[in-house]
Amino acid sequence: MNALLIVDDLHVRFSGSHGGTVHALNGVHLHVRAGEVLGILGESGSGKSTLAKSLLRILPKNAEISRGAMTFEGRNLLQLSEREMNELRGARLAMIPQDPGLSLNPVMKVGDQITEVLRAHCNSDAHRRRVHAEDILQRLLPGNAGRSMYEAYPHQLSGGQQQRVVIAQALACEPTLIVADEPTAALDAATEAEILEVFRELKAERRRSFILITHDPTILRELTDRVAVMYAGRVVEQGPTQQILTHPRHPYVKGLLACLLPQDDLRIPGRKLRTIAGAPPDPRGTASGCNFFPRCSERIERCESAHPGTQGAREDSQVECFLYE
Amino acid sequence: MPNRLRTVILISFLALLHLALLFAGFFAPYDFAQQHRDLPFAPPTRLHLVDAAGTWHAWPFVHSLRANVDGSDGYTEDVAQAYPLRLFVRGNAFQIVGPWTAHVHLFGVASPGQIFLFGTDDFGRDELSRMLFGGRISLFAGILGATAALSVGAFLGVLSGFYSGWTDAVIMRTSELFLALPWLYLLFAVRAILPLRVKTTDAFLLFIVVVGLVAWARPARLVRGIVLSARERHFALAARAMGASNFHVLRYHILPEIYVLLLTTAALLIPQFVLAEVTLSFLGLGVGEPIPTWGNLLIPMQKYSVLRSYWWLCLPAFALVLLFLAYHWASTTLQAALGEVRS
Amino acid sequence: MLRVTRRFVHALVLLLGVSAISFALLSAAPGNVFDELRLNPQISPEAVAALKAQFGVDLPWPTRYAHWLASVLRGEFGYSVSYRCRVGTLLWPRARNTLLLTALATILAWMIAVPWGIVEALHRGRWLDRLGGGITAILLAIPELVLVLLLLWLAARTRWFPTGGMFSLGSAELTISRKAWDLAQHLILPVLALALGTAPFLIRYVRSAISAVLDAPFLQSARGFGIGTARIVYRHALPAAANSLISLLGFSIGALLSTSLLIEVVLSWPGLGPLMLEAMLARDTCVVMAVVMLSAVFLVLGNLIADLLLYWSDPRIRAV
Repeated sequence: MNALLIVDDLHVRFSGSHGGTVHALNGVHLHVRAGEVLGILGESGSGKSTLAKSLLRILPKNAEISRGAMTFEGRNLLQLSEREMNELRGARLAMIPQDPGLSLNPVMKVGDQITEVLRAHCNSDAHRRRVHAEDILQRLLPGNAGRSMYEAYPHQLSGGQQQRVVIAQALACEPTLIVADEPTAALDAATEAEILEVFRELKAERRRSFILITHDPTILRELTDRVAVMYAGRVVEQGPTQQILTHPRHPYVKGLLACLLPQDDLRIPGRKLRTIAGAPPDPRGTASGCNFFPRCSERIERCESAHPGTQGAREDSQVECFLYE
Repeated sequence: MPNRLRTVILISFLALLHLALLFAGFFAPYDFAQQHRDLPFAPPTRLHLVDAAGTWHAWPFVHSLRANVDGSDGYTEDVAQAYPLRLFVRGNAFQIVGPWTAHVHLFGVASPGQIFLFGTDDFGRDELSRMLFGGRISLFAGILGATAALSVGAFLGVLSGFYSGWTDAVIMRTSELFLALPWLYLLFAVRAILPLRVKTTDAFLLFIVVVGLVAWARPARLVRGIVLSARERHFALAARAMGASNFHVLRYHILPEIYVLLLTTAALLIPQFVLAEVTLSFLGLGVGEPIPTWGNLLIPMQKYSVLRSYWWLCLPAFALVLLFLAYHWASTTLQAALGEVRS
Repeated sequence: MLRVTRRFVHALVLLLGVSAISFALLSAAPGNVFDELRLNPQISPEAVAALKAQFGVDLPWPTRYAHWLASVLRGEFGYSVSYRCRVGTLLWPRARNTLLLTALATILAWMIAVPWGIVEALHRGRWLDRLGGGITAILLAIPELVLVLLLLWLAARTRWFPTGGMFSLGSAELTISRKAWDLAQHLILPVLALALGTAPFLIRYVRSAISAVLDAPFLQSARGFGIGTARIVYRHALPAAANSLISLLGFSIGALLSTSLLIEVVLSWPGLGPLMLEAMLARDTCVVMAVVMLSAVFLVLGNLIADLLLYWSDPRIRAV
């Protein structure tokens, strides 16, 4: 498998301030190939953002990667020193955070915030960095806006423009993998469409891989090649986007997609939005069986005591469920 | 639990400190003005457990002091005379509160023995006794000043926060005038208005109250902030909507929050007013001889000979630091508790 | 620009208010310089009465206040009866000395506090932070008066630097450079006392301001782009924290002026402090008034400067 990134059995836990440990990731397996877009779908609290931060090793201080491996371009990220990691961050591996309004420094010109990334990784002089930053802005902001944008401060920009600046930061050093953590969640619908258009163009270039975290299946359908669905800190099913969206196998994914992509017409009186009964498990405890067991409509006896593990691991599509052994 | 332990230590330390100062007469072996003319600048008396013959004793005793026979400065212990330390001894009468007096002291030695645990000053007065009595005045000054500042501040702050509009505007603009002066300049300016010569301690404490009255601005602004935010909070709005009177809202929703703030502010203000007393007395604008305060006890520290030879006269400075440490600690503890309550 | 003008007008009104209040209070105070003069047997009661008439002591206070304001505008600040000269001529050299002291101390205190606060913020919760926090807690509990007495003791013990005054005896004949060296030696003790008295307070504030910024999402994001810690601190975190640090600057000037008053008296530095004390003891109202007013001017000016700096440093405020 010539994968760019392989995540193998990743466990992350947080130690709470009042004692108690929160298990955010409980053995995540996934891989990303060069040039492809992997979508990650999941409810809030399923561990999507923790996964993104783990990849860059920018988790908060109370978090700990307790087990597993992350192999990126043939190197295990967990064995790199902080210094080596810093050489990768922004240069080979970059992240687009959730809220562009909060992820830009309010007292720094946006152009300078892009050149700061260039400065950290490329040895070119200040003038060339500036030209480079202006070029990226020009590319991402159509019309004449790009160049004049350099001198602007974040509060002078619209949400869409701010997000383009953040994307420009991520693209600046031409990384091979970009992790976008719900890049449109903080934007309104019209701006969201604009930003998705930017991603569509970037995808068409096929020059870099993306991990696109979202809870919106329509974004997955348009932008991703493959999808991994997370539940309670595990990837329960992954496979080609089309296959997952049309023929989901895991009972949770079936239920989730039924909620998110209502097939039936809701205008019919008496029809309710579908929900999955029950709530996700308490992340402080560890269950011996399948995490989804208490809510599962297709559960069998084994599910309570034993964890199914990954089925069909060698193929492109995998599912963690005894039904597909 | 270590947090709990720390709080217990803090509270017992503060309690001990305050009791020792409030009942200075009991803890001090001598009166603050009692002179021992033959023993000026005596070093702290040593407590012994072993006598000249090398025998161990179960209870500490002291020797009396003799001036050096060769005529040089300093004293030697007269090992022939031993006076055991005694607890709850009868001594000079002292005032507890108002007309009540007592004459039992915590410790002492039988006459003609002398015990100066912190040494004596140039008149042979016991430094420990002077520190305890002096601390009482300084602490009173701190508490009185802080009470004055807080009561005026709380009253005007509640008024200002509760009746917004011109009342609020007038109070807040006036507070800006008082905040436009650096604190010590304000203290001096107020002191300049009052009579220059102070006859008694009571008169001086009255000064401190006046100073406190002038320092209302900062507490008032803090209280106003609390009142405004409490008013904005929906429980108060809901209470108004249900027809609760202004008084009810004030009494049950706003005042409980202010108490905590006042306590925290008091922990900050008391040391500040102790310092006001210390500064004024140090500069000769407060209480003067023979009455000791922590301020005028620091005056000898300006003399080179004292700094070089009579180190025990610097002990009042350490007492002051100790009091400050305790109060700072209390204020950070209170603030942390306040933060936890808020969140 | 409107904001700047408004701030300026506000400062002027504030100073006028302070002057009116303190003038009213001081003139209501019992005892004045003439009472002190009357105690002097060498001055006849007639002479005192003549002086009183000359200075218009018996006029109502609004009239005297108006006279005084006019005098302030001429830079005279009234006439000092005990010094027998215009207050202005007394005031300016003293004010210059106080400003020299506080300015140097401000610079030193900030030079200590900013790096220290940053190091503590970067090591939050670890032993270096706890050690630093402990030291600042102890320094914070040492009143400036005790601090300066301790330094005085150190100076007396070691004889490393002079323990008081501004120049050595006979320094008038020295060359300029020798004189500057003499002045620098005399500055060490007061500046050190002032800076050490203020720094712990600043350190705490810098630590919390920098900590808050370091936790901000935009710095997490900058870290995610592989920007090094040193660069993050001085290029990203410091400008973002500048806002609260500049507000603190205005505040710290007030604290420094207060402390300076005390330290000047103890170390006999010829600044406003000893002048005010002497004037108080002589009941020389005009001098007291002038010093109080000048301190208010310094404080208000300090805040005004901080405000302008804020305007200059924060693009969000500039936009409003």
